[in-house]
Amino acid sequence: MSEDKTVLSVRDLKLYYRTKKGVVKALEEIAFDLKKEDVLAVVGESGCGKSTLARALVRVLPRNIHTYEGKVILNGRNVMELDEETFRREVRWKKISIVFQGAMNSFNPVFRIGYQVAEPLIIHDNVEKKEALNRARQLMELMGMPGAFAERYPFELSGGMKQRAAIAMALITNPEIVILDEPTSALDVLTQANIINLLKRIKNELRLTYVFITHDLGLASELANKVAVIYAGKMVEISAADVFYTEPKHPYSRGLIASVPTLSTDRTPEFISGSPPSLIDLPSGCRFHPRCRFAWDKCRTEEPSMFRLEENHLVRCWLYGGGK
Amino acid sequence: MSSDVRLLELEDLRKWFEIRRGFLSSKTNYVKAVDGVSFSLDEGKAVSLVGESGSGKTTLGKTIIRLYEPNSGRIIFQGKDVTHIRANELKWYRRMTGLVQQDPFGAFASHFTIFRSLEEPLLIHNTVKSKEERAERIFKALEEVRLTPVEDFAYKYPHMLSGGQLQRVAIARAIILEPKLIVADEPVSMLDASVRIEILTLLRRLQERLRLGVIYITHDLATTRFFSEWALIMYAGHVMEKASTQEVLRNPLHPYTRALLTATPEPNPENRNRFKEVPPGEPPALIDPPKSCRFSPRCPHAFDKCFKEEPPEFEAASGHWVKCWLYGRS
Repeated sequence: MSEDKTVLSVRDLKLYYRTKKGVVKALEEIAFDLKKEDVLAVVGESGCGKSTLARALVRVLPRNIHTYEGKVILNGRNVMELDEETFRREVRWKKISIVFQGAMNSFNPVFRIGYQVAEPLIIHDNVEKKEALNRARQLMELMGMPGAFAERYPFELSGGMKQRAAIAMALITNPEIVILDEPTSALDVLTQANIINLLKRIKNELRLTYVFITHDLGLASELANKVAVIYAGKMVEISAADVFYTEPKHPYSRGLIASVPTLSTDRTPEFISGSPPSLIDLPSGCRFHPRCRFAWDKCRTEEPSMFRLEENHLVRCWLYGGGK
Repeated sequence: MSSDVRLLELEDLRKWFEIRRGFLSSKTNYVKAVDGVSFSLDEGKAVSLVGESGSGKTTLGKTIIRLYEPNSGRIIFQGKDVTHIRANELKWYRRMTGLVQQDPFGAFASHFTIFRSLEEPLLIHNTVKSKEERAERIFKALEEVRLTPVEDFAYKYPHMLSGGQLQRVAIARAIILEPKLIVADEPVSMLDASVRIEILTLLRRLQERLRLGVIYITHDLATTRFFSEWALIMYAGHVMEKASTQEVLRNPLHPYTRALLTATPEPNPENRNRFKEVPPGEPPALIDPPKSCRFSPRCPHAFDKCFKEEPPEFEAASGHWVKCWLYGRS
């Protein structure tokens, strides 16, 4: 692991949505630190808030925001304090960019791919169009695409190629941090493996830091050196990947890992019964207790905080702290 | 009843879709989605059709239950040729087969209660005459898929259920006419990891208890070993390899199968320190595909012959078939 300074630090990030049915507590008490070239995998089930986290970091949010607070410290500067215009000009895409889930299907069908990859440069950096197109083409080549593909329209590219273009688009402004929101979810297994190889290679070449949002723990281990598990809007465990995969602590993390069918071992996969709670009407105490095999009285009434097991290993579970 | 009763037999099955290029053009092209598939399945057993998108696995599944009519080849179900049956016979075949599709959210009419959705096949096939008996059947089906208490679930609308619960209802609907064969087309790919295993375990239990034949269509090799006896690996409309699931996973022969195995992600923190060796490129277009091996343009082991001639299926080991020149006697 690198000895570099912390590039991104998130503290007490909280995000609520306002809906007709009530306030949706999408994210609470999100906290983590990333050093240069770290890859943090954020894993959890659908609806747990992981995509909301991705969007909250680049401040691309819907209008029905109820609460949006906390600290997002980028190279020592709390960008939550910036107004929208400054954030747009100085942070989004310049420092942090994102490959949205399904980005490859969001290209405008009537513009050439090369132009769409170059667009952030033209808009953000006022780079002249010809120069921007040139750089887009070079970057696409770095992504393993033939440069001539820049002249093509989205429908003329396969899923894997479009995904490469979407990644190129996120990299064109030389950001330090790239958020990858399920970057391979609609791709075939072989294409997925090729894209993961590509993400590894460019991370090393460009010294990038990733936040990798995924529901697939197997895939997470392909990139991540840190893993954060989110359940019902709160982080329940965060640790180094080496520790997480060999000794997950939180009962939910253990359940998630046990549910992955593997080819290399004879372990029969197990499942976690029940389903996640509604974020409008959360259970009392620990949010996971209705599905937890180990839950006792305290879990039903009191919510655990993040207990520190080791320097970089935190778990939100009464089994690991607070006394019985 | 003996333990090995043949349920289904496919002989050189082909499903080509016609496409016309302009109305004056006399030339018709075909998308050869399923191009010569043979296999057989015993009662109460499951076979996985594994492949990437565009490999023809869904078309094959739909052809087997005659949602498509094949262009050539034969489908033998319980000893009866159902390849081109029509009208009442086809209606009988519909009763004998069931389908569970990928998207549970799109599988139900939003204005029907679960009860009403499950009643529909009973009404259409009119196998259960009285209202009371129908209700009994519906509750029994819901119990089979563990949606209990059944009265709670029966009168809900689809939007009130989670994806996993809806997929259980889809399974209940597929078995309500007491079929002998179920096609499950990517039944868990839209569900969360923690729910997937639950649904597959349920399907597996029903398969054993009701002696169902199950055709499990998936792109995920890792789940096949726990939920099927047989595996067929498909690529661009062809079956590249077929054997028992254990054999395919332990002793994969076809370069494509090996690539799939390598590419399947597994939780292991050492993964991040290495690159995966997977073939680049994409599957070929299925409009007039080359006469050669369809994997040859991507295959790391391809030699002259692979680019010229399509390999037949060689029996490389007993019961282990592979469509690859590497295993041809010559």
